Amino acid sequence: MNSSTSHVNAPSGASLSLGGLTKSYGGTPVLKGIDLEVAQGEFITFLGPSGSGKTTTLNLIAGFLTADSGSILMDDQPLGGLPPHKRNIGMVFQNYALFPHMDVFANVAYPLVQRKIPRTDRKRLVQQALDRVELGGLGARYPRELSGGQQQRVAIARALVFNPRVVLMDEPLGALDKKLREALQLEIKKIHRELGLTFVYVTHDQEEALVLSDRIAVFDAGAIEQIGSAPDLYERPASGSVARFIGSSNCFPGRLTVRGSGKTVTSGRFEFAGACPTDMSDGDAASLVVRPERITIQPEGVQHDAGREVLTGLLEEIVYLGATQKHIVSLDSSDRAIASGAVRQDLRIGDRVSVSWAFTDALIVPEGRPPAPTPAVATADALEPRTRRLAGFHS
Amino acid sequence: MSAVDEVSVPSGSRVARLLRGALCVAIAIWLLAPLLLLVPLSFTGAQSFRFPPTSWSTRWYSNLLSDPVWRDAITTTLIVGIAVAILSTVVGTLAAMAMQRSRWRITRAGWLLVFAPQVLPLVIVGAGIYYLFLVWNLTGTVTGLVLAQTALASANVVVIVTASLRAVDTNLERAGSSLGARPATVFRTVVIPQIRPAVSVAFVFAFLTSFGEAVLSLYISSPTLKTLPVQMFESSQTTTDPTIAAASALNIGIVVVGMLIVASVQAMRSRRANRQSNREGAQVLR
Repeated sequence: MNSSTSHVNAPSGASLSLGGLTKSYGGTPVLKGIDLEVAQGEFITFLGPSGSGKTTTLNLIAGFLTADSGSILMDDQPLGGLPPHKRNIGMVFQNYALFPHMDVFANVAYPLVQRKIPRTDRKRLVQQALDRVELGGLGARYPRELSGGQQQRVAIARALVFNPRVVLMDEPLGALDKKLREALQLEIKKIHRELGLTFVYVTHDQEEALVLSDRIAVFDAGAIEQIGSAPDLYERPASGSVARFIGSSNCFPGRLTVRGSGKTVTSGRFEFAGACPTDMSDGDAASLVVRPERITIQPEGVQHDAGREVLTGLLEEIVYLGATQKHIVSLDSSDRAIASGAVRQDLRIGDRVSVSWAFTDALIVPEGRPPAPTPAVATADALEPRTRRLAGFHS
Repeated sequence: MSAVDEVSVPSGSRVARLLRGALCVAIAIWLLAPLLLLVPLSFTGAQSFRFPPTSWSTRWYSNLLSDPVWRDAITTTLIVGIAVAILSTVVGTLAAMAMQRSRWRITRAGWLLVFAPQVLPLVIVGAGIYYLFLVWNLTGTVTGLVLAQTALASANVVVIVTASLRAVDTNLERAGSSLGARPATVFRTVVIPQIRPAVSVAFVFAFLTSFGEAVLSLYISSPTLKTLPVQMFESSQTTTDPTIAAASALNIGIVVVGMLIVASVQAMRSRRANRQSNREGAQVLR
């Protein structure tokens, strides 16, 4: 077939364009309008908690599900109505989904047999694909004779061997242990770089997303909260839920107050200043977000520089992490703040401490709904009355 | 006996255990008594059902295989049994697929239809089939026997195959189609190999269902076309010929062989599963 051979020789990935995708199951909406442009050869990751719609979106691209409305374009050609076997999209599943009754060679050759590739070419292509995932000698083994990591390598080889323009991966490393996961992440990254295919990768592991992706789409409750590069999402989260999902954050939820050219968040009896890149108006639900590594911790009484927010509390826990250590501070409000930094000897659990951050390191983000309580989130709702300086938040 | 057993089982339990054992033996005897009676009887030397036999011979077995009435009955039963096994395995497997995968509620309601012949009293089903087959000229034919028994045996196939279809990972099918296989190809190359053991078990059960079926066959049989159960029934009504005991013993033998086949299929599967988990264990150690 002309179409299949031309795909086999195609050097790089296709672009994808998702427009207004919606899907509901029995009246419950699981996708509420997904819009996304994926460039040719891009590695994009769908990141989000389970049930956020990322896997559903992936299954729509693969053709396993049909959207209620919206469109999917691959290189500007609509995919709607095209069954999965005609989409020429490689797919890798969390549970490997290798055919248990076929040996490794037959598994990897399967897509080539479907495309009626001649036997001699088939053999060469399978060998090439197995070599790429460093399983060259295991063609005669059966999936049940391989470890989880090896099985997933076979599945990756099988999804790549027919040179699809787009590769979808649905939590492919979810069933593997940490060491193996990290090794395979690097391999996937390398394969992506070498082949230049478009990768769409689903995970709920933010670290994995940061390692692999050109861009990350953060899913929450059936919608994309934010799309951007890893530094974009980390430095400039568009909402409280993105801030909480990417890295750990100190979040102080409250209401927005507009003060002249600057904005503040009133959280409990505190009013915090911070940079606010998003367009918000007075009274909106908002959070002040400060990354743990931007927080400085000092024994109480040490003088702080001007232009810094200072809170006091009790050092509740020190978590040693090797290169760094994490300080969990029980604020005088009985809430928590997390500060991470270099390992130091001058602090002991139970010490009175002060935590501080530069106003320029605090970010004000909108809150869609009340934040879920997690250890990394500090709330400030029962604070002592204090007057706050409002300075330095213009920049 | 370990100390743990002494502690965890209160005193007086020995009596309870003995009673339980005695009950099990009693139930087993109750269930097996007719069989335990028939097998020795089939080797009797006398022309009667006197038990225990006073002399021994194998003449009822040679009679079973040489008397044209009995021999024809056996031949008919085997032909019908194999035809029913093939037909109901195909029909039942396809029906199970349809009911498992269909999005239409009406298809899933097919369960009712499949099980109707099993739930309704067979005498009534048989009467219905009999009058229908009179119209269609199917009484007294092998085709008639096969069709009637297939309706009955398909239900068993549906139950067994549905159970195994539920265990097939849908991701395997998705993987197949994402790799470029059309739905029919996915079914042939991915689904069928997964359910093959269950289908072969279903085949054996369908054959056994047909082999022992008497009620529907009584309606459809003619003086010249009888299955073994029908011939046995008629023989028991009209004569005191111990050939029926030999026929029963043969019947029991066939059922035992069938169950052994089923058991070995299952043993093969679990051995394979064991080997797999052993290998996984070895992988973890490595």
